[in-house]
This record gives sequence, C-alpha cells and structure tokens, in this order.
Amino acid sequence: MTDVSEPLLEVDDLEKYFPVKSGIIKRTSDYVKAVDGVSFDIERGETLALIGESGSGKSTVARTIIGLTGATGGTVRFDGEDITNATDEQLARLRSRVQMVFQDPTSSLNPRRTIGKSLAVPLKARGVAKSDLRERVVDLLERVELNDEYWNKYPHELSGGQKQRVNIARALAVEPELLLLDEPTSALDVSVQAKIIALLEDLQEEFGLTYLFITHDLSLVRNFADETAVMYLGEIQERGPTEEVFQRPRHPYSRALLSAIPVTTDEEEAYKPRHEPLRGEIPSPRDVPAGCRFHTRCPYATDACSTDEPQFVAVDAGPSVRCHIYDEAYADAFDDVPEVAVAAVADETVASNTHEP
Amino acid sequence: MKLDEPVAENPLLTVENLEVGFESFDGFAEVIDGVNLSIGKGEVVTIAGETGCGKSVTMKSILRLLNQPPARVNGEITFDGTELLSLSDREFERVKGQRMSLVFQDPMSSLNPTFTIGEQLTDTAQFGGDSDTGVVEFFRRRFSGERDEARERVLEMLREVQMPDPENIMDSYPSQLSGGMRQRALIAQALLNEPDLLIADEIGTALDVTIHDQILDLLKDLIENHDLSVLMITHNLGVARQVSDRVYVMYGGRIVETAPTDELFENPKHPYTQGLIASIPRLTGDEMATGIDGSIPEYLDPPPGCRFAPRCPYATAECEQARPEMYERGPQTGVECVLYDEAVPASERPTVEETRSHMTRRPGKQTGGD
Repeated sequence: MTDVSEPLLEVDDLEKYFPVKSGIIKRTSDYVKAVDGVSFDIERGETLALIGESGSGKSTVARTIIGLTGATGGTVRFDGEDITNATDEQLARLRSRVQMVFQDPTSSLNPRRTIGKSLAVPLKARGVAKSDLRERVVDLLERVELNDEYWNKYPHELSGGQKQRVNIARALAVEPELLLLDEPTSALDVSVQAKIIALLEDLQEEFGLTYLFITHDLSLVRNFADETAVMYLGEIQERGPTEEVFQRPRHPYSRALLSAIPVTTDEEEAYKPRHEPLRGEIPSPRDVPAGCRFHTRCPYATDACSTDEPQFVAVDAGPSVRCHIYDEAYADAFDDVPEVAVAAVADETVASNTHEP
Repeated sequence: MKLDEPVAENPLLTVENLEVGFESFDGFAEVIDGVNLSIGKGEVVTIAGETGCGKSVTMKSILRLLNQPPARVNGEITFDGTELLSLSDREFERVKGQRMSLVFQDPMSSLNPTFTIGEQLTDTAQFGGDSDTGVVEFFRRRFSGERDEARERVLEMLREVQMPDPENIMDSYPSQLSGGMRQRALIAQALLNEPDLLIADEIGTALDVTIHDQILDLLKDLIENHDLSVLMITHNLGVARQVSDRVYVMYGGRIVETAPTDELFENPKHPYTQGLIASIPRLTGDEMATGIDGSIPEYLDPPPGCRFAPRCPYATAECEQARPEMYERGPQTGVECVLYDEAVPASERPTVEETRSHMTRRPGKQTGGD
C-alpha cells in the first residue's frame, strides 16, 4: 500500500500550447495557450469538478493527463509517479489505472461493433481468457444496470443514456482508479442525466473511484464534487471546496457563471449571486488579454487589472482565487466590491445573529 | 378544460386537435396525438419537454415545414382568424413571410456560409415572404435605392440586437462570427419582417451559459419592445421559467400539463412534470431525484392509455386502458392525469416531494432503458 495521505493525482503548473503554423514553410508563428499553468490535486476517492465554458481548456487538461496530447510544461504525477509525456511502456500501465469517458456517447462507440464486442476489447487487452469474456462482459453490463440482452445489440439500437452507460462500463473494464469524465451528461436529457449521475455516485462508493469531472454546468456539481475548480482561458480562476465556492463565490467569473443558471424555484434564486451579466464573449486563446485574463469581461475591472497579472492566492483560508479584489495591494482600487455570500447564506447568518424568524 | 376552447384570451394562434403521423417502413407512427394549444396576443408561451416528445414536430407542422407525405397532418391551426391548413402553399407563404418568424436552434447551420451577413439579412428585408417576385421585379428591387434602404434597416436591427460593431459584421461571413453573434444575427433576421408571432426553437441552447444568459436577456427586451407573441420551445425548464408567461409540458406527443408559469413551478401537478422538475440538479444542494425510469414511448406502438403510464410511479390499470381527460384545475391550468379527476380526493394527488422520494429510492437492477 502506498501512503494514504498522498493525493492520487497531482497536476502542477501544467501547460499545453498548440503551435499555430503559417506561411509556405509552415513556420510556427504563434501559440494557442490552451492550458497555461494549471495546478490541482485529487485525493483518493474524491471528486474534483473542473468547470468552464467552451474554449477554457478543461478538456485539454484531461487529454493531457491521460497522454492523448503531450504537455508543453509542468508535471502530472499519478500515485507518486511522474507521468508527464509518458513513455509507451508507462502508458500501457497507466491506462489500466486511468480511464476516460467522453462527452458524445454516440461517436465514442464503434457503430459496426455490437456492445458485447466493444466491451470485450479492453478485457482482451488485459489478457482475460476467451472463455471468460462473455461472463465478464455481462458482469460489466450489470454493474451499469444493463443486462445481457445488450450483448448482441448495436449502438444505434440504444438510447443516449444507455450508450453512455456502455461507455462507462467500457471505462470500468480495466478496473481503473481514476476516471476522467469529460462532460458525460451534457448530451443527455435531465431525467437521464440524473440517472447517470446517480450511477456514477454508486460506482464511486462501490469501487472507491476517483473522479475528475469536467462540465460546463455548475448546478450539476453542487452535490457531486468535493472540490470545484473554475477555469477561464486556460487558467484556474477559483478553486476550493464545492460548498464554499457555491455559497461564497469570490471570483467575478464564478459569480457570473452561477448567476446565469436558469433555475426552477425561488428558493434556488436565493442561492444565486447578484445578476451580473458579462460583457462580450470569451477571447481567443491565441490572443490572451494582458493582465488578468478576465478583465475584458469583468464588471469590476480596473486599470490595474489590464496590466498586472493577479496571483492565485488563498482567501480567508478557504478557496484560492486569482483576482485583484482579494489582494490587499489592489483592494483600494475597487469601489464596488461584491457581497461574497449568496443571499440564502447571508440570510441565514443574519437570522442566526438577530434571532428573528 | 374543454378541448374545443382555447386557453388564451384573445388568441393569435390556436392549434386544435393536431395530429401528426409519419409513414415509415415499419408502419405508421402516431407522433402528435391531439395537441391543443393557443397563444394570446402579446403572450410568451413555452412548450417544454425532453428530446423526442414532439415539440419540434408541433412547431414544424404549424409552419408547414414537414414534407407531406411521409408526414400526415390533421387538425385545425388558426392564425389571427385564418385557418392555415386549408390555405394553398402560396397563400401560406405570404402569411408566414409577413407575420411569422422562426429562430432556429443551431446558429451554426442556419446561416448560409457563402453569403455575408449583410447580403443575407438585406435579402430577407427586401424579399421576405415573396418567393416569386419575378425577374424584372427582382432586378428592380435588387439594384435600386430600395437596396440601400433595406441595408439601413438591417443595420438598425443589428444595433437593436446589440451586435458589436454592426458595420463590420455586415461584410463578414458567418464563419467569422462567434456563436453568440450568429445567434444575434438570426434574431435580427427574424425580426426584420416585424412579425406578430415569433417561434424560438431552443434559442441559445448551443451556446455557453454566460452567452445564453445574454441572449435570453436580449430576447426579453425585444419581446417587450416589439410587443411580440412568442412560442418558445425548450427542454430547459429553467429557461421556461425565466422567459414565459405560460407553459405547456409535452410528453409522448401530447400536452400533459399546462399552467401559467408561476403556478406550474410552484405547484406542478402531472407526475411527469414533477419528475422532470425533481431531476434538475439544484443549487440549494438538496438531493436530486435519480431520474425517471424507462424511456419515451415507441411511436409505432404507443401505450394505449396514458402514454406516461409505463414510467409513472402512480400508474394503475385504469391508466393503461384509456387516455385520461384534460382536467381543469384553475384558470388556464389543466392536467391530463386521472389523479386529477373530481372523484379522487386531493390527499391522493402526489406532490413533487413525494415524486422525488419515489425517484430517489434507488431501484433494483433495472432491465433496460434510460
């Protein structure tokens, strides 16, 4: 047994730049900084949610961890072993311990293979004997609450939710410790999404899995993740315990994301920060704004934000935030500082202080 | 609620007993089965439901976008006193072009990639609703002062939808625009003919949350400024709550519940609506339901009674035999479920909390679908 206190996955200052080639001889003229200095740890059996809009680099983080693209800089350590730009031999070992579930359940299954065959591939790769294959596949199907009727079916005969279950079963075939879930439910309807999330929770409990959960839907992670990290343009802007990020969102971007969620009850409205619509759209990662990357859209931005890059610092011993508002050196420049706690929590505090009903 | 009485006061569009089926190799699929809906003047109405419940087919049959055959459309669609289904294609084109507009779901594929935004929108402004102007008239309009006037109108409209830098956008191709800008261009295009009725199919769903939020805010402003009647189609109940006055919940090609927005969210009645609301992840951190068991009905062989019965936690033998009536439960409120019959005591009607607990209890290993 390895040391229990050591995180299963440590990502330190990870960078992934994609070269932009131009001209006749395809010289590298520029870089797209998809991931630019991302750090986080995930403890065994825990879930980290990585949140961000399209183009924020969240999927690239997952792809770099599992070695689908090489890293430009930084390190990824899995169970103490440095797996940054892993060798083939390392990858062979790694991939039986780290698996990925992709967003689109349809295009990640081979349409010409039956479900049984698709699920047998990873088992064969692990060296499971041919005579045991069928039994093992049925085990896998049952694990994701499907049955052996699916052995002979083709992907087109399945609904989106069923296909995603098969994808999860395939990822589980090698008995991994870490699952990278790249928007596993965003192609599904809410009632199906709820079932997949429940399944993932059950599996985590049963097998002690560790999840990196990538999504653009903040409301989904509220119950699901232990820690939440909010990404914007290749950087993590805020990271902390999920509860804290939801009840006291500090970074203006986290606040904007939270306030943009269309909710269904008044009770939930109280859990949203003040509505602060963002200006404009996410800039191109080829041309990252100087200073704070978010300043072009931030409702609080000051002059300093467009020149000085904020540091990623812990605030009130809670989450870490990359924003000048929480830096004492700059604090004077802001005249309109957001009330950090959302209404629901603020009310609670007031109520408990004044003992009013 | 009587089926022959439209719910909206002063209706602009009423759909009565709409039935749409599709001929296929495997047989005849009865998709839309007796849909009644109405939109009042200046009202924003949403049809909400999951994939495959018939929202888009309903919208397409209103706008005559379905090929017949294989589709078969029956029923009555009345727009401002005119019965639409009996009009000839040409007459219908005129009504549609001058008084209705549609904003499609996918801002990527609904603009022509080979024309600039300016050309496309100016064409709409000049020729919208006239598909057969004739060559002479075409050249007259295309190469005269009218073109410049139309261009001015387009520019104005682009400013109104808060398009950044509209002059430059006029000369850009759709591929040069971001998703949010394309969506704005489409909304501008839809408003050029000053429609009475705007149909918005999953507007902004393909966009990021913060952009989606901007688009919804814009839409709300436009609805107010232009005094539009809107039929929104969405799978996101949160969006329905934010924008609309009244909601229709669709399931399996039928309207299962309708109510003013506040009533629907405070007091959802149909077990399907309740299940749907309970399945939405919550910001409060309360436990969410584990979804509705089973999958949407097979339209080739739909359940004979209530189409939700096979998935309903409260279903009885009665539900499986006959389609329930639409019971009236307050002003503009109706629910198609036997539990809302007068004879059933109120205590037996489920609440969202009950439905949630039915659905949170982890079921045993199920054999089948999502």
